[in-house]
Amino acid sequence: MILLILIYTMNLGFCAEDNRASKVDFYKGAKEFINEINSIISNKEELKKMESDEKYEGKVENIEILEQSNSELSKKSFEDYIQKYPNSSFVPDALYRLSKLYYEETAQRIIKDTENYEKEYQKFLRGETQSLPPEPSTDYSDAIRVLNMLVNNYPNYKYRDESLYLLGYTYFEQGNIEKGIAAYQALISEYPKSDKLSEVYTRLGEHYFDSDDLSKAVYYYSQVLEHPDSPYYENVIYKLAWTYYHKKRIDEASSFFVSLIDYNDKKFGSDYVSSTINEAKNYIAIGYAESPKGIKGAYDFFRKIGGRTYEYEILSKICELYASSDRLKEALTSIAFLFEHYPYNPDTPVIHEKIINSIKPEQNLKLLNTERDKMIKLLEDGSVWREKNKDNTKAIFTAEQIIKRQLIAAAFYHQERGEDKNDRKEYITAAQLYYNFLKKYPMDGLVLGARLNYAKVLFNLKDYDGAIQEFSVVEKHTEDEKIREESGFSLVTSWQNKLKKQFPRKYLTKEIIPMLDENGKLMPVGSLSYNEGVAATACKEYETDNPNGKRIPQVLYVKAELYFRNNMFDEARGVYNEIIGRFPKEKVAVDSVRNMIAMYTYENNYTKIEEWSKKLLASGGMDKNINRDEKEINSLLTGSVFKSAKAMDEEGRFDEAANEYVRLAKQYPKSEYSDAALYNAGLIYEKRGNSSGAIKSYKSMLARYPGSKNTVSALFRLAVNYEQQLDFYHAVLFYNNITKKYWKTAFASDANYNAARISRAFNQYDKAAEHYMAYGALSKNKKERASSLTLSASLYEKAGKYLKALNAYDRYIKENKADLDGVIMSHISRARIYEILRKKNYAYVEYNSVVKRFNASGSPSANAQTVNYNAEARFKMVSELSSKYHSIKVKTTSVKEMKTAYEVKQHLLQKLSDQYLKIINLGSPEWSVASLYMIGLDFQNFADFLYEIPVPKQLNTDDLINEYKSQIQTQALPYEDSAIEYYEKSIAESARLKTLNDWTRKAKSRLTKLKPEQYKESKEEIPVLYPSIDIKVYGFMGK
Amino acid sequence: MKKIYILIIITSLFACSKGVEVVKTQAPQPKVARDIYSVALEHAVAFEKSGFTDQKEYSNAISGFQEVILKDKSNADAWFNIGSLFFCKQDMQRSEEAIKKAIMYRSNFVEAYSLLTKLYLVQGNIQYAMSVAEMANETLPDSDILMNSLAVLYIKSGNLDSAKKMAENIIKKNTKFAPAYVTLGNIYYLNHNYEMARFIYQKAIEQDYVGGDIYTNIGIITSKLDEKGSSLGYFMSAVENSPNNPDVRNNLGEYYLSVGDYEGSLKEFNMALKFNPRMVQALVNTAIAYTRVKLFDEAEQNYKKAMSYDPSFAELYFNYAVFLSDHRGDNTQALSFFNKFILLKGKEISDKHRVYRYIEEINRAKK
Repeated sequence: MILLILIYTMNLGFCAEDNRASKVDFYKGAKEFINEINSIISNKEELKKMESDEKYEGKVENIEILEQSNSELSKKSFEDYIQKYPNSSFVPDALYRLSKLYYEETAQRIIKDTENYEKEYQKFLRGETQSLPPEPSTDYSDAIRVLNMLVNNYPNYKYRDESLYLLGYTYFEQGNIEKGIAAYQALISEYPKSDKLSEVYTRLGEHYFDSDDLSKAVYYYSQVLEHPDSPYYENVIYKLAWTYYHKKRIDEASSFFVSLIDYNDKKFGSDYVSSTINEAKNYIAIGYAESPKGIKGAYDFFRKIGGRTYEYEILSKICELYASSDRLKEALTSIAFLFEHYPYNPDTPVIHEKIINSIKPEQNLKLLNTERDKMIKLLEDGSVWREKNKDNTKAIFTAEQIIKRQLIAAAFYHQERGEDKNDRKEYITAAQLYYNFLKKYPMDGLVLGARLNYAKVLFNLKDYDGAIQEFSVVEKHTEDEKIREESGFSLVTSWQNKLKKQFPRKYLTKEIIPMLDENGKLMPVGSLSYNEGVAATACKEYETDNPNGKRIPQVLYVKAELYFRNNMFDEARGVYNEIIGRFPKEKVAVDSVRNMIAMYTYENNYTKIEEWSKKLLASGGMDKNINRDEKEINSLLTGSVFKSAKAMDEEGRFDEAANEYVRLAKQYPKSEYSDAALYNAGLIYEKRGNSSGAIKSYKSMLARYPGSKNTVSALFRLAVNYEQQLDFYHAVLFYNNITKKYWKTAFASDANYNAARISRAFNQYDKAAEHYMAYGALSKNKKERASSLTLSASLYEKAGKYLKALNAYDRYIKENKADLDGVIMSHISRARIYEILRKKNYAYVEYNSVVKRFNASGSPSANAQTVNYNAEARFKMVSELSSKYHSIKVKTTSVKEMKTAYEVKQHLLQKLSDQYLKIINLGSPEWSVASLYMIGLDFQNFADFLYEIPVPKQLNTDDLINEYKSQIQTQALPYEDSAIEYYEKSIAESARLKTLNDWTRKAKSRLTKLKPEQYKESKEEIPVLYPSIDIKVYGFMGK
Repeated sequence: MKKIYILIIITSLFACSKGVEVVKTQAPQPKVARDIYSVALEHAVAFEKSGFTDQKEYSNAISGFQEVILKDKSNADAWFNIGSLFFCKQDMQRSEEAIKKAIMYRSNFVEAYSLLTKLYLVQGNIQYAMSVAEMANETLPDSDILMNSLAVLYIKSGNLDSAKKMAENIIKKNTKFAPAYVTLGNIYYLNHNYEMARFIYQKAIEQDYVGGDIYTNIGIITSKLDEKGSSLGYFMSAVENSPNNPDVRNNLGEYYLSVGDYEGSLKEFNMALKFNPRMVQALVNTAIAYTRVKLFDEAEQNYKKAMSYDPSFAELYFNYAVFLSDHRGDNTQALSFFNKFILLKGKEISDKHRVYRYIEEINRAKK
């Protein structure tokens, strides 16, 4: 049985199922041979009877039984007989029978081998054997040998046609095609009326079809058309259609496919539907769809053959084929062709919808909408199509369904686009389409789904009122649990968003915030507004309607928020506790914790927060995101301790605050707040005057958290506290650490300043000056920069670092040109340094600069010190002339020289006096006194000059000399009197100006010599300056 | 004998303190008593602001606090304030009595202990002051105020090391206690470590210390380290902050004296003497100022007064010697006083000090 099927399949090679009919016939033919042979084998006695055309009607099963018992015996008997009686007239019959026995034997063996092969092959597939079994061999050589003897030696044998047929068949089976064809050709030529011919033609046609020799195949297939009663007739038509189809000759192919359909219609009636007919129709459609002729070609073909009832079916299939193969252009042309030639066909909308569905909206949105419009127009109420098909209930119903589907599809498409791109325009289009649908089909089965989507669109359009209304309807009427849950949840979120829209200040906050007064303090417990109440009810209804709702935690969270924002903390806490208790693994549980802590924070109940958070952590909730959540909760927890400490600090509970900070760092060393906690503890200790505690805290922070952002500030505070502890060594160490390692930070400037102060306290003026310079350089304040320069300069002076001092003053002058007082002070300071360095010329330049700057200002400074500097500079400049004046002495007795010296000196005396008097007018007490003294000194010097003039040589007697001295004295006395006068003026001016200085003392000293009777040498007292060292009085009590 | 007296004081203080517990159990004070107290306090503050000159405010304050005590004799604050008022008026005996009462009714009244110590110090009784301070520190250890008072007494008694240790201990314990910085600054000053002294004084100011004493001390240091002229600002600030502090007045007067403003200096010295008539420094400076304006008798009176108050004050002898030599021609006495000065100063002065030149001049003149 299997073999036969195999033979059939192998030889005919048809894959199409619809060739079964011809296969069955072919099978029947093969079976007949076997039956015949078996009848011979079954009863030798009946061999004679076999000469007649007696037919055996037994079953295959019987053949197998007979074969098993008699096959070998029969073959041997026939072979013996032929050998024994070669000339017997029964030899041809014997050969004939023997050929069949051999054929059968081989056929049976093939069956068995094939079955065994199958079994082994299955074992191989199951992995029970390692190698593929050998394929069964086909060896008909014995049958072929015997048949050739028969055909060649007995040309007139009565069953020659059968023999030739069997010979051809076995050759084909054996793969000896040429000999097989020769045997078949002999049969065709010798027996033109043989009933085997239609089969032989079919076999030859198949052979050439398989060999791709389509012309020969068509020839042999066409020969079968002469035998319309042949069981191969239908198959051959089919094969011919196929052959032309392969040759892309679609008109000829279609003719044969139509013939095939017509043959079946004729044979079984037009209502008969078979896969062959369907296939024929499909291939016609495919053929035209694939050919350039297209739908028009198909239409013309049918016109040419007079039309067929199923032509619309084929033409519509062409449209569908185009649509399904993305040939949109051809699809649209074809559907237009259909509309043109079959405008009222009830099925056209269905085809059109298929094409519409094949249009990709993202590529051809406009086209899609155009086609949808066309369709809706075609099918709408009152259209001609409707009118024509009004009695076709099915067509009308289908049309309605199509319109609904298209409306919904279009709306859904725009909804999706809106969601993808968050495009408001798309949402609006979607909303309009849903609205139209709902208006037109209020009772349709799709209404709830459409309303759900409509609600979602409205939500996205922020029309929360509309969304609430639609979600409510869906939630109320749906019987689908999933939709009920979704709409219920959406209802809650819609309410949530409506509240945000209605109370933006209250609800649009990053974190949930309760009602606070203008000072940020918590207001009293409030109550829910009407809408908030309804929102809370929606939350409650969600819980009731969806007892197993997957989003209960989220809904509860929303409900809690309503209470939270209205300061109804007890109610909110109740809900949050429920979330945390029932849904510890949900994200909202963590958020609930945060909100719980937030509420406690508003209530300043930090102990509660910490205790509660710790408890929560210990419960091991939130397992999936345990790391993140634990971190977050720990952060909240330690943050609350931090805040608690901070609040204590702000409330003035300093010791408690410090302890709390220290506890935080100790108990939660890994907390993100621990470093700041230690730092803040340090600050509090400082505030409390406990610098040793502060040092401990800062040191601990620096050791434990070296990467803390508070590192530099902690270092600075550490240094400050060491300084407070009077541990200046460590203070300077840490200040220097900052100035060297963290010189870019804001602390470097202050660190330099403090280090400078300490250095100065230790009389390390040079170091102090360096630090002040660095402080000034880092300072952003111009005044500080300037003052640091002058301070540094004065300290350099103290340290004897005169060049550095000169540089510092010079920098001040260059950088602070607008500061007249400062610049003048710097010049005078530079001049004084040059005086120390005995560089008079440089000093003179500086004095000159002082005077120039002072004069150039146009408005003399009100600063008394600057006035003093100006007077000092002028005084010093005059001193040069004074020195020259004092150096003029007469050392010879030459009268001419005497006269010249006298005149020059007197001239200079006058000049000096004038210049000193000008200085007095400058308004500087000190230099006024000094100038008066100097005038006196100059007069005294003139008197001395006169006394010191050598006695002229001409005066050679004592009398003359005495006379000369007397005259000199007379000349000198007025100068001495003037000197006394100015010394006295100097002392008087000193008393008047309340300025006692060295010049006063010098003047007094001069007077004691010039007028000893009036001015005695006096001793100098030691006035007592005494520091105030006393026990402090703390004032009255109860202030 | 002194020891016995000190013991009596201490014993009486402890005996007083026993009564405190009994008083504490009494009923709360009637509201009216507090109102009288507030009014009295306002008068006391007004008296303080007047530079302790407004007699009317003083009387009202005294009578107010006395009225409070009549209603509640255990009101330690009222007793303390009365003691403070008497102290300001230099009525030391009554001040002492009142302060002791305050301590009796409040055994841990550190301000009262401190004031009592100061009272003894002002009276020149440093031993009593020291005994009270030590006893108070023992009774109330760790009190910044009492520790600082003791440190000041160490300074006064010349024990600068102990004073320094004590002041540093206070600061290390409580960096906010500004008076300890003042004390430490004073110690550095007396050790001639002027830069450090100024640095430490500055720290007291950073801790919001209010008091002219610190400015006057910085003024002295500035005068010594920088320029005389720039010290004036500090002296003025000192007077502004503590107009009633005799040291502050004296130092400003000295500044005026040094620049030849004798009138101004005399005014300040007189103010100093008003607040502390026994202030030897101010008396000596007054004498110098009188000498400059040639009021020699007045000058001599002040020298003598100073000598009676503190015969161990070295500068007195030097200046008096100058006066006697230059203006009284009493070189013999002058020589004696110059030598006394050398004796008292000891190693504090060098061989180049002008006192030796003056002695030589006198001796030369004698010959």
